[in-house]
Amino acid sequence: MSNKKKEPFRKTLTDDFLNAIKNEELLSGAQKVVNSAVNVLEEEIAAGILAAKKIEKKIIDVEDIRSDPDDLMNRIRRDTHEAVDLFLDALSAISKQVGNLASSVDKETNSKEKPVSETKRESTVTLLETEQPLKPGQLEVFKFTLFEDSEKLTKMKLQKSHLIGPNNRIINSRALKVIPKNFNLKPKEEKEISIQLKLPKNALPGNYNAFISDANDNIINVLLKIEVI
Amino acid sequence: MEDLFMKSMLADYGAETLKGIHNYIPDKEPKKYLYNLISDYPNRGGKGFRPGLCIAACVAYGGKKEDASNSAICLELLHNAFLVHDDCEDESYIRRGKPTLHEMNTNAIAINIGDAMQALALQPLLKNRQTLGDKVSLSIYSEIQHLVLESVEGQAMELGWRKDNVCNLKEKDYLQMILKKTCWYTCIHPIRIGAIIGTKGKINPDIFNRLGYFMGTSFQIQDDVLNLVANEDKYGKEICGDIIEGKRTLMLIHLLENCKASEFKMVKKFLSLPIKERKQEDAIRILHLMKDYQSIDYAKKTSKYLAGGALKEFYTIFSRLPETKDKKLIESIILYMINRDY
Repeated sequence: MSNKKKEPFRKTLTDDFLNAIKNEELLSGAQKVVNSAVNVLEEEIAAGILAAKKIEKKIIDVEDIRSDPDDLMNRIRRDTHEAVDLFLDALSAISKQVGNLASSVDKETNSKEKPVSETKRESTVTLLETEQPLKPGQLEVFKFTLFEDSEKLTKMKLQKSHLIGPNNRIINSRALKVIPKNFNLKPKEEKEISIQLKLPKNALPGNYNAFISDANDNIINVLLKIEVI
Repeated sequence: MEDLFMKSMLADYGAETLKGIHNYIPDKEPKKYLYNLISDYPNRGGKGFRPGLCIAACVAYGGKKEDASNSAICLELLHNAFLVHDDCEDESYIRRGKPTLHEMNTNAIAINIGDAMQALALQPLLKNRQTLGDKVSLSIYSEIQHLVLESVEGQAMELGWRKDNVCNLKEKDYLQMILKKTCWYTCIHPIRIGAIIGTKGKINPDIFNRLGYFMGTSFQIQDDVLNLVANEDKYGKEICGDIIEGKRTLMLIHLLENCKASEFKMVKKFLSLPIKERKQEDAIRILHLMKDYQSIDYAKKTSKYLAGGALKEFYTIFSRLPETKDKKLIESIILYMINRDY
């Protein structure tokens, strides 16, 4: 038998509200207002999506718009599109470079594993880095959050690479601890992942990178970047 | 205690944001009729609602408050720009306890200041690229663009109703207008932006739409009720100013739907006059009619129902997150709305 004293029930403002809404009349009134508001919101969002699609269609038909080169407005539109194209090109080049870096780190450190498979979903690279350089023997914890925005349950198995430094200097992946490593992510579920780095006392100075990815899919790509002094 | 906690945290985040706003105001000419006046409304001290929600959502989702500061500055600058323009459009006399900017200067100067504030609000968004990276910064940019468009659409709806003296509006029309005019920029986008920053772009921001909508509508209805029942010094705006301005509030819509034909005719005639010709005594008469027909009580009740909807949404979305002061701040804002007795 527990000798723990029973906590007296403390009434909070939330309790007051929840008690108040038990009243049936009040509940139906509240339901009516809230439902009406929800309908307005859904209709507005649908209208917004439709309007955005129409604009997108106009932008895709850009060749038609460009057909009259003497028209000033068309010229402005063409220039704008070219600027957007340039920006998108630069963005995709950067993504490609980061992707190459990620896969080269993966190949170097895990050559026996299967190459990263193609995925239908968009893969992104998240950069985690410290604000200050780290000293040998220091412990550092990095955190990031995963959110499953699809309607499927996803099995995750996070794998880590060695930390690669200057002149192929390596800090063994044992210095990294990923928590949790194996888990399921339910639809709309969010999970915080923690990466603990315990630098060996004999770690040599330099910039090091490690790569954390999901063994089942290449959608999770986390690049860990640190400087040892 | 809850109120004190909420007010002190909002004041804290508001003060940091105000400091940031000052940093973005150019120290150059023309000062007298432009740059010196940009900080006038922000310096008068608002509730700090938008930066508070943005920073709180960011920290609740594991981000650092500094990461949300540029977006909070942008939100607050845009809010104040909207207020400057709104005051001209509504021909308001008082804002936060002092004469409105256009009353102290001219309409033209005030409009120009509002324009400059909107342009300055873009600067912190560019700065976001340095701290948050291109992807997250672009997604915040598109949130802001949507916010501005929705707000001007909502304003156009209401200005159009006033111009055409529309008097047969329904509650649904009001809910649609307020979603556009207030909710996106006051609650929905600040929370969405904060969560995008906190999760480094990994969250689906649509999950916050209902929460922000219920909060925003409840907040706006309560603000409109205050315009009718509060003490002018405490409220900072002229009492019954909304009636004089012909603002289509839930109370006015409820009154017009429920009053007798002769009263409807009187209110409609009052609203058809130019603002400067509307008399205070007629506004007081309309206020009494709102009390007689329980339009104010109806609005108070509606705002609490919506705040209740917001609380349910909040628990659904936020219960999985660790207990933090910032998560508590969002909860305490909703509880404040539920328990408000004006």
